[in-house]
Amino acid sequence: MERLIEILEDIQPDVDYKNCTDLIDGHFLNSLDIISLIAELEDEYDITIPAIEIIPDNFNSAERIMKMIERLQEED
Amino acid sequence: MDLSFLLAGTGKTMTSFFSMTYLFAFLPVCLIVYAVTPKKAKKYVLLAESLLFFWLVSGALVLYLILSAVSVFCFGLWLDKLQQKQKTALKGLPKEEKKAAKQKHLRKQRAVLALGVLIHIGMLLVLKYSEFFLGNINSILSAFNCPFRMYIPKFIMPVGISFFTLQAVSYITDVYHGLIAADRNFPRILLFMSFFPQIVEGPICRYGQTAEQLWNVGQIKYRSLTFGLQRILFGMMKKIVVADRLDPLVKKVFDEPNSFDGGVIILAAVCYTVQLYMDFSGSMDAVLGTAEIFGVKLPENFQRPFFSRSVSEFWKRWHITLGAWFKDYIFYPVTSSKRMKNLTSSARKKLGNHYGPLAAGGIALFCVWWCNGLWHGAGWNFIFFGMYHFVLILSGNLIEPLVKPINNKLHIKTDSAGYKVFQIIRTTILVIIGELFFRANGIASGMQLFGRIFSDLTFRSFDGGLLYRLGVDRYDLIIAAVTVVIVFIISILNEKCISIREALEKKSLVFRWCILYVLILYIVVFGAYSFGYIPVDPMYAQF
Amino acid sequence: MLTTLKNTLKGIVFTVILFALLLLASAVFIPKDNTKEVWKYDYTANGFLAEPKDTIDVLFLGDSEVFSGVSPLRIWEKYGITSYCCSTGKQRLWYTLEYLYQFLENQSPKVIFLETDLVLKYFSVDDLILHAPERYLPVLRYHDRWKQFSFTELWQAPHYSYLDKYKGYHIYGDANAANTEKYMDETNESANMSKMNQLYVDTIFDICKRTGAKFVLYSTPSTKNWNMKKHNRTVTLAEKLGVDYIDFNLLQDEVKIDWDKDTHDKGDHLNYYGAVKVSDYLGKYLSETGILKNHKGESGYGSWNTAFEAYKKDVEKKLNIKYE
Repeated sequence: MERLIEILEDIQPDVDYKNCTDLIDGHFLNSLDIISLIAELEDEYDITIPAIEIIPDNFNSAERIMKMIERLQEED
Repeated sequence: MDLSFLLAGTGKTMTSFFSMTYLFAFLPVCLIVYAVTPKKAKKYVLLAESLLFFWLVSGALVLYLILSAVSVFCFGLWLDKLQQKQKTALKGLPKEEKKAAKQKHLRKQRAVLALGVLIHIGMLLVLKYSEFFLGNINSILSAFNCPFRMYIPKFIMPVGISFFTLQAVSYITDVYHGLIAADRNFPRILLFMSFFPQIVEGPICRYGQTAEQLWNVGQIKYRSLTFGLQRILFGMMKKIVVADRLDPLVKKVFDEPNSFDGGVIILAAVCYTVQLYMDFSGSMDAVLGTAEIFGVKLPENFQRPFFSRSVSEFWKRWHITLGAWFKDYIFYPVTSSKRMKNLTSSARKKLGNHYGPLAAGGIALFCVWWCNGLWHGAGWNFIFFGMYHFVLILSGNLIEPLVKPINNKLHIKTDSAGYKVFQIIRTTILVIIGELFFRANGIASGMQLFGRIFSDLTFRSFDGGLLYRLGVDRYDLIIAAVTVVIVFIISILNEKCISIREALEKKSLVFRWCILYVLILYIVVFGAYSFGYIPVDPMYAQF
Repeated sequence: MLTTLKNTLKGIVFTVILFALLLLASAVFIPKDNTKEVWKYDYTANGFLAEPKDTIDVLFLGDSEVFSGVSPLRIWEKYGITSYCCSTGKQRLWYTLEYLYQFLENQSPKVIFLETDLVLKYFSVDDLILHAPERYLPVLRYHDRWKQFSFTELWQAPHYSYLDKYKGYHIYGDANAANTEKYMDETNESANMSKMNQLYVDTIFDICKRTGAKFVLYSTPSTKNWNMKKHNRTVTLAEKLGVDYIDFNLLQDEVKIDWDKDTHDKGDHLNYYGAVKVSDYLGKYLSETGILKNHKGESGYGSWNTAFEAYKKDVEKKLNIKYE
């Protein structure tokens, strides 16, 4: 989780990732940030995030992102 | 007995949801038949009515729609079978072997997906674009003095093909990704593809959004009936009072790009954008209102786009379902392809957080807008329209890091109301320019019009006879403007999250009825219909 | 069950009030006079509204072929028969029927002509659904009059003051030669007539029968609008109805239309000279039916003489010829 927040902060600083639950719906992350984030996550966690997973629900909070990562790791 | 009528249908009369035949004959009959059918059979009645509608409009081409649904159905089952096979094959395999085996299975599934998408998009390309592509090849051939010419076949397009093809592709893709289970019930898929209110102009729905709802339709409820009818009325006002009233003016100026000075062209460009919005969003009100009567909630296609602060925001609020489709099935798949991901990772290291992902994002954006332009029509002006927005959105991203320090230096408060209004107006102007090219009869004509705004910016044709030459009068413009203001006020309220319809519901019956009577009489009196008016086809049905 | 009943009742009450409001609006919006300024569209065709009751014996219904192709004052001059052209540009059958109803409110024509150009022309179901209720709710047709409202006239009862000086006829003086290639070439084929058109012609025919008027089909000479296929179809129609059918396009020997001189727009419509030839033939046809009175010299018809004199003067002035 710490690592994830580091990645997020690297991409887009000024956001309180620990508490924010509307990263996408609140326009904190735009589509470019998402592109970066996905590339980073795939490298970091050795997963593939298919385009279909890119929905607000999966990215609205650090917690949701972590859940998705864990799920994808399991599927692999 | 002459059976040729079976092939022909009744022509284009019904494609407009505001045509008399649809509103006062087809829809009421459909609703009554639907209402008296026992609950269990309602979905089949809805399906039959949808196919009937398609047949009335497109005749024998209804077979194309049914075949599309059959193909979608089969591809779903095929993918499902492969997925089941993968599951059983992988079970019990040690982890190391699992990955390689999975890749092998996925490759097969990907091939099936590609085939399915190719068939549907391919048919769309052939039917809608072969004339354009082959025509362009012929112009190139003639430019090189080549004596050969490609034969250009003429196809008749089924109504709504641009809309239901995208639905078909989204279904197959979603099944491939395991987002939805393949449907084993053919009538349900057919209904998802053919639901009659949305077939002509969308919204473009995903299987997960509507298929279940449509299959579980029930009794028409009083509240949904009244709400739906109200929404249709509101859409009717937009379309008949504003859009159709402005049509002669827009048509005249765009058909004669050389006859008017810059001032008139600006007026016409603004009027066209207003007309397009009122026509399309009005039709959407009718579509969503109709669906609401059946108790089906379709996704919204508009979210007050003219309150957008940037062009990219505008496109998230205008024709939302199309934008979402492009985002889900083009933008993210392109950016998350292996090669693009590597590009993003390496570019980020060199260019930093902002410009790094822009390389892959830009490429994906280019694909999206190329497709968006082409989707609207087979013509260079549509491609130009797409590229125009691509450049705007990309350059918006490019200069974003530069704008911030400048704003800070100039002490501009970016969240002040004044700055917001500035942004909204700027966005609106950029959109209007885009729509000017969109409407123009070809790029050359668009350039001509656009050029005249600058080279000939006078208002000298604003004399007594101007409006007469434009085929409208003072009163037409006044009533259109008044109606736009009404819609604008309602939009502001909606923007502030005040739902007029729910607020109205709480008022007394007398008050509510008075509002409805006023609205109906307003449409009856101020609508551009009957004598002296030519009915205008819905603008998005041609796409 | 109770709520359903209540809701149904609500719906009914709502609709009834709505219709009441539309009727009220209709009373407000219906044109209060038939002048050009008030009526706006097709005002020459509406001149009959101001004609004294039961003074017009012959009615010509049709599209622009009629107002350019028949001159009632010419027929009056030769035979003393009163007639009127209820003809409007691009008229379709649904509109024709409207005119017939309106005309019969105040007149009792003995002969009713239907020009055939519109008989075979397409009109959509949409037109039908839009225009059929207009007779009962005129606001649907005249709603555009909000543009020219004066609040004093709003509440008046209609009073018609406009008499058309040529009785619905339009004078066209210039000539543009027509191309007569393939004009009325022989064929056995027959044009198509839609069920809806059939229904409307049947209705018009039934009304004529009911009012005791003689119903006649006729085709104005026109190289652009008429051909043998249409002729054949109309012959079938006339036989079915058992009515006279005069096709001027095949009467070249009797009505010598000169396609270089008698049309003002290359064979689409007749000009004055062509209209005179057609009117003279129709006048003769009418007088030979023996059911029409020569009103010349009768009291109450003096205005027709005055109208004719003015018409004659206008023709002479406009065409720069001596009236014959």
